[in-house]
Amino acid sequence: MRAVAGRRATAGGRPCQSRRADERHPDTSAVHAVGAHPRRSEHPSSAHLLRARPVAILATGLTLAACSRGGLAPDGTDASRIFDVTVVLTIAAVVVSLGVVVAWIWAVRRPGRSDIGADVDAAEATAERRLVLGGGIVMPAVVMAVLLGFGLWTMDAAPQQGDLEIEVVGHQYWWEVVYRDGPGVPTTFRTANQIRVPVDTDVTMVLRSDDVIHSFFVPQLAGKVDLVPGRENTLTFAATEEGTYEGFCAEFCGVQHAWMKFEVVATTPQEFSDWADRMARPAADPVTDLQAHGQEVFAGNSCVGCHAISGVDDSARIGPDLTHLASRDEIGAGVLGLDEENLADWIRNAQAIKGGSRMPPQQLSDDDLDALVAYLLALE
Amino acid sequence: MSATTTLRRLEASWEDPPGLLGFLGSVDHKRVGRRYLVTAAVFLFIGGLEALLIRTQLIGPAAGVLTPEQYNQLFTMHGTTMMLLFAVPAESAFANYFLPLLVGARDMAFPRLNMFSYWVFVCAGIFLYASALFGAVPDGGWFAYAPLTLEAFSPGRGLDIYAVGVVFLGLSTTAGAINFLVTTFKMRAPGMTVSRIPVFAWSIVAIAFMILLAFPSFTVGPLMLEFSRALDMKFFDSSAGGDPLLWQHLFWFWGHPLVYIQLLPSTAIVSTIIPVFSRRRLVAYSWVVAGMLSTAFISFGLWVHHMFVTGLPQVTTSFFSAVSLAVVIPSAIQFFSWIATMGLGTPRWDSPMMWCMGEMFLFLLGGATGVMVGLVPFDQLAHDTYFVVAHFHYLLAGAVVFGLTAGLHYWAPKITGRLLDERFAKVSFWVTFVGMNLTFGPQHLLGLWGMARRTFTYEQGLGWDALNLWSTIGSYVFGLGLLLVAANVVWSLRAGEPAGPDPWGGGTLEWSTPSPTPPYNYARIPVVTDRDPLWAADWATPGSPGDPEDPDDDLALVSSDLHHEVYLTAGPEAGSEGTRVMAGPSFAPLFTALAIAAVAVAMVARSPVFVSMALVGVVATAVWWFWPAEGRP
Amino acid sequence: MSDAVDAVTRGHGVPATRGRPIAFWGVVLLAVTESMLFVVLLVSWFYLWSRESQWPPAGVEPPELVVSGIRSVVLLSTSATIWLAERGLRRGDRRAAWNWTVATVAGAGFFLATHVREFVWQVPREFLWSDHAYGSMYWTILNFHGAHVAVGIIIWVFMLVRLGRGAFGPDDTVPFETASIYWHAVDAIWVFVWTSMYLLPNLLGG
Ligand code: HEA
Ligand code: HEA
Ligand code: HEC
Ligand code: CUA
Ligand SMILES: [Cu+2]
Repeated sequence: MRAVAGRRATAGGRPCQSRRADERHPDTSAVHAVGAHPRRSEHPSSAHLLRARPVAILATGLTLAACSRGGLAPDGTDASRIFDVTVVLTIAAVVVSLGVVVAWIWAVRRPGRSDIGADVDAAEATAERRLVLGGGIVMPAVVMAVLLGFGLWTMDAAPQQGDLEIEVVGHQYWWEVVYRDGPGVPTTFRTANQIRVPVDTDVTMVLRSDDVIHSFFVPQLAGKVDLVPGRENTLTFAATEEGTYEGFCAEFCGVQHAWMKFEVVATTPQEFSDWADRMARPAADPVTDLQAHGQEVFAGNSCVGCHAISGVDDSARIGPDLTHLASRDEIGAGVLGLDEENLADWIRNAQAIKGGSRMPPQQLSDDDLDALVAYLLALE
Repeated sequence: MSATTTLRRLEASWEDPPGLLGFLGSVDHKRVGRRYLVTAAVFLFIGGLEALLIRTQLIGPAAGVLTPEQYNQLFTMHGTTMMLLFAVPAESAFANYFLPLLVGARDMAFPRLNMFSYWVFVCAGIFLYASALFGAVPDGGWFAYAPLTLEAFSPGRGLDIYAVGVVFLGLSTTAGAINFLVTTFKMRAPGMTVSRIPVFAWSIVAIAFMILLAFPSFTVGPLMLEFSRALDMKFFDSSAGGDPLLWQHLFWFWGHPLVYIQLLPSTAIVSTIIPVFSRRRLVAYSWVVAGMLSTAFISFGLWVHHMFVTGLPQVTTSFFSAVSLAVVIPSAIQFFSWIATMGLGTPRWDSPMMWCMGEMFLFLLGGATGVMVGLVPFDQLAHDTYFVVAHFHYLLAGAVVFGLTAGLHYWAPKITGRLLDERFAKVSFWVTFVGMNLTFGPQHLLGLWGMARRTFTYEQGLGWDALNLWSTIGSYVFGLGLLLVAANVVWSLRAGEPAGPDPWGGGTLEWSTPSPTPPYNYARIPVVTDRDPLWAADWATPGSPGDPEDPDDDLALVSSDLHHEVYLTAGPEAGSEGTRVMAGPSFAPLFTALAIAAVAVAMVARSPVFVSMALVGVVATAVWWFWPAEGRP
Repeated sequence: MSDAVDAVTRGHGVPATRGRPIAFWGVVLLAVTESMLFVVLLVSWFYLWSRESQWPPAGVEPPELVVSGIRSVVLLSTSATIWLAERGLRRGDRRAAWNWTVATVAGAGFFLATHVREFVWQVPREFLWSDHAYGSMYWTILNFHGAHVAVGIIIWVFMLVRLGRGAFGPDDTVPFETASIYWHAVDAIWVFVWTSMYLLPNLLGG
């Protein structure tokens, strides 16, 4: 159902195995490169950068073979805007550097004089002044003015407000995601570590933090923006391709900064609103006895103190919302794939997997744990 | 007096007394400079070793060499060590040793303050590393962003040690800056007018001003951090009227000028060496000097380019983007002056020149990526990724380290009296150069692909494995190269060929003294009539200031009672003013430094009683310091 | 000796000049960096102020002006007394130097004592440094300045002791003059501190 555009798609596809930080395992199914697919040569959304096109196409051709990943494989409006700037800047940097190197080689090879004390004759004095002032002032001034103008122009091109607003709150070390009612979203609901957006729709992320500074970054979709306590920042972009995109926290936020990942899933608007409908509903009721026992374990233990499951107890906000846990494919902000074994490991002792995260080890009997896992895995 | 008696008397006046006083209380700027050099090199190797551990952890995906805690401590200490305990002190080392020599002085303006700077620096370094003994190593990154670094999120004493340690270290840097400035104002040889001051001395003037204006910000910020941690103050607490971004403003208002504080002496070394080996004077000297001074000035106006993605208004980011690009111009002037100098002359490829070429190349590339991140849209991609790591290592581990190493190769014969092995030096250059590019070249691409910095691991299947492996291999090669440099220096101490006073045909005053330079620096106060005095047509002709046969004992300034007698000048013309007796060796600077270290320890211990006692100690040692010498009231 | 050198350097076309002593430049540069310290502190003050709708925060009165105004006048007048002390010294009137320095210490002592009174008996009743960012800045900046005054007092007492032991005279004024540069700087900084922290919140606050 989901278009395979990124590595994340493989996470669901491969047998879900433990993906711990401290463990190396061969990954045969690895599709190298996030978004290793040809960049569409015409993005309708970045048509406003038409003038940069020819260069962009040329450079794309050159770099595609090896380099088209992450920020170099944009599938979103904001990322495409930035990609165009990247291409122009790279070319400018290479051209200017090469030019300087040519002048440098010329200078080294030029037969000079070596009469150190003597005065320089007038012609040479003018020539050298021209070189220093031309190369040192005029050339950079021109290059910088052009680049600055270009940069400022593209800054203005960034859209300010999207049709759909999604609130993202950074926590050490996971992402709380709140959908407020809007196009395709029937009513407010919460999820975590996974953000779904409809393609070709401008979406505004409203970014906040309750603890320390984090930074919201999905290289293929948009530039990064910090989440600063006491401030509210926004970021607007539209995904232009369906797919699952790797996102992560870019600002150092503590021990497990490396494992503060998330994914952005871009689907058709129809699929998106279907999903939102499902998510807005309270959690599925337990079907089997085992699951029913699991629900009791959840409600009777410390879990409810930190996690919300709407329909059971929707008050806690310390940990990720688990209402539809099973609709996600990862837990612990990307540290593990979601399957029975991993989930049990995580609940038993999250500290052994993601030391320093804010979920303490849980003392549960094996039976309780099995039931709890069965219950949680049924929360589609 | 005959020439030999003159020299003997000068030696007796200026030599350090034997024993502990001479060792701990020395005021010889060359001795202080040597100590700075060795200590900074030790910190380079410590910081480098930390880098190698970091790189080893990143050698492949999910490598389990380090725990996340250890990794975070390592990059924090690596960054802090390299910036504050290696780069800035290494510059101080050259400034200490060569500034007085370059301006033709016998001493620094405040000799005891100079020794004090060194002791404070050493104590601060030990203080920061003592954190390891207590298992409280700072782990908030070298820029220690609040609120992560507040007590609530970073309990333990690690960040107290960081906050107090950097303030303490700043004291040393500030004292050094005042000393360098006054030395250049007042101690220049007669006739060294403003337009005859060597470029390296100018670079020290520029950075000293930057230090005086930038470091206060890095005193206030960390003190606020410490007060927030220890006394629960609310500067950075958004729920009580504070603001986390205040910390970032305070940090980068210092942090940005800091990078040019590190860069300018290193480019000035290049401006010094290239003319010598091209046999032409530096082209557009006054533009180069103006460039350095304007870099110093502009550097205070671009700190916000480190905060482009914090959500500041677009007018603000646009302005700082523009200023970030403007700062290219003074750098470019220097660069083209080097090109023009080589074009006009005939370059000779001795090892100092090779390192200069390396510096230029890395500076060019690091500068070009600096321009790229200077544009806001691109920075939204590159910020906090390995692209930025690559950018600043090209400039720091590249331009700064290569420039300083060029200076080392150029000046080591003056310091030790012996030549380095040329062939060995060239091999070490190529190893280091290849290692440098291999380490940090691939990081540009990794950054663009989205590899965030300060992540202790990465997943398999992202396509990052190969480049990270190359980068790690490169770092080993880089380390090997620097090890070869160190080996060459150590080897030369014992087995190097005697250098003679002027192995390269240099034009500045220090080359007119024997190598190593005697304690009194100049047997006669030099009188300067040219920007490159030794290249003046009439240098070393009868009756000239450099006349080797001229036994002009008046200029020797021999003190009758063996005091440190120096000659002062004044004004832009460096007109002669008169003699002055400088302070001799003393234990007071060492003890004052120790008393201040006690204050720092007491602050980290959060004991008001102990802090007060230590402050009394500071006052007491300071009074001892300033108490006039025996025989005077 | 020095004259002989002069003669030689003149021979090379170097003019003779008179400049300021080394210590002068040292203390001027110290004053520059110290002033920058307060610039940074006051900029932080205004920065946090600009982000708040109410400054001082609700429940805190703006600082009072009368007593602090008197204290300011006393502190600033010590710049004059120390200048008089210097003048006395230059004229060889060591008694005047002594008296005016004592007056300086007394003025500074009054300032410091009232400062201590403010922070021991008054301010804590209203707010503590840990209450809000305003409180943190208030305590930090004013005590920073207070610490500078305390250092000044130590310096002047040190000078008095040496004066009493017979040091200084018309041709030995450098330590005195340089110490007074520091002192003038501390006074000048106070003008800005007082204006920013006492006066402006009254004029603009609320
Ligand atoms: C010695 C150190 C040094 C130097 C010299 C520079 C020089 C420059 N730096 Fe860099 N910088 C750092 C050290 C340095 N930097 C560090 C340590 C950080 C990161 C800190 C951290 O986050 O931990 C950083 C981060 C940094 C950022 C923030 C990135 C981010 O975090 O997102 C930016 C953004 O504008 C920037 C810009 C620049 C610019 C425009 C220059 C310019 O001054 C460069 C000018 C020089 C040249 C351009 C080369 C010579 C010129 C020519 C030969 C002329 C021809 C060239 C052209 C026309 C292009 N730097
Ligand atoms: C002057 C500054 C400077 C210098 C010279 C260096 C030098 C190096 N740096 Fe570093 N670096 C910084 C300043 C500097 N760095 C800063 C400011 C940061 C940011 C920190 C932060 O994010 O907070 C950083 C971060 C940083 C990172 C990113 C970490 C992360 O974000 O997760 C990396 C990773 O590759 C790195 C690598 C290196 C390497 C390989 C070197 C090499 O040049 C080192 C060369 C190697 C040696 C010098 C070793 C020599 C020693 C031996 C060979 C062993 C000798 C044996 C014995 C002693 C027995 N540095
Ligand atoms: C003290 C608070 C706390 C308690 C108690 C707690 N958790 Fe958690 N939990 C967290 C936090 C915080 C996270 C996010 C950790 C991270 O990713 O860094 C988390 C993450 C999880 C996740 C992964 C969610 C995701 O989408 O990544 C699951 C599943 C989970 N907890 C289940 C449980 C269960 C079941 C219990 C009770 C037996 C429990 N937790 C008790 C705080 C808590
Ligand atoms: Cu959150 Cu890094
Ligand atoms: Cu900068």
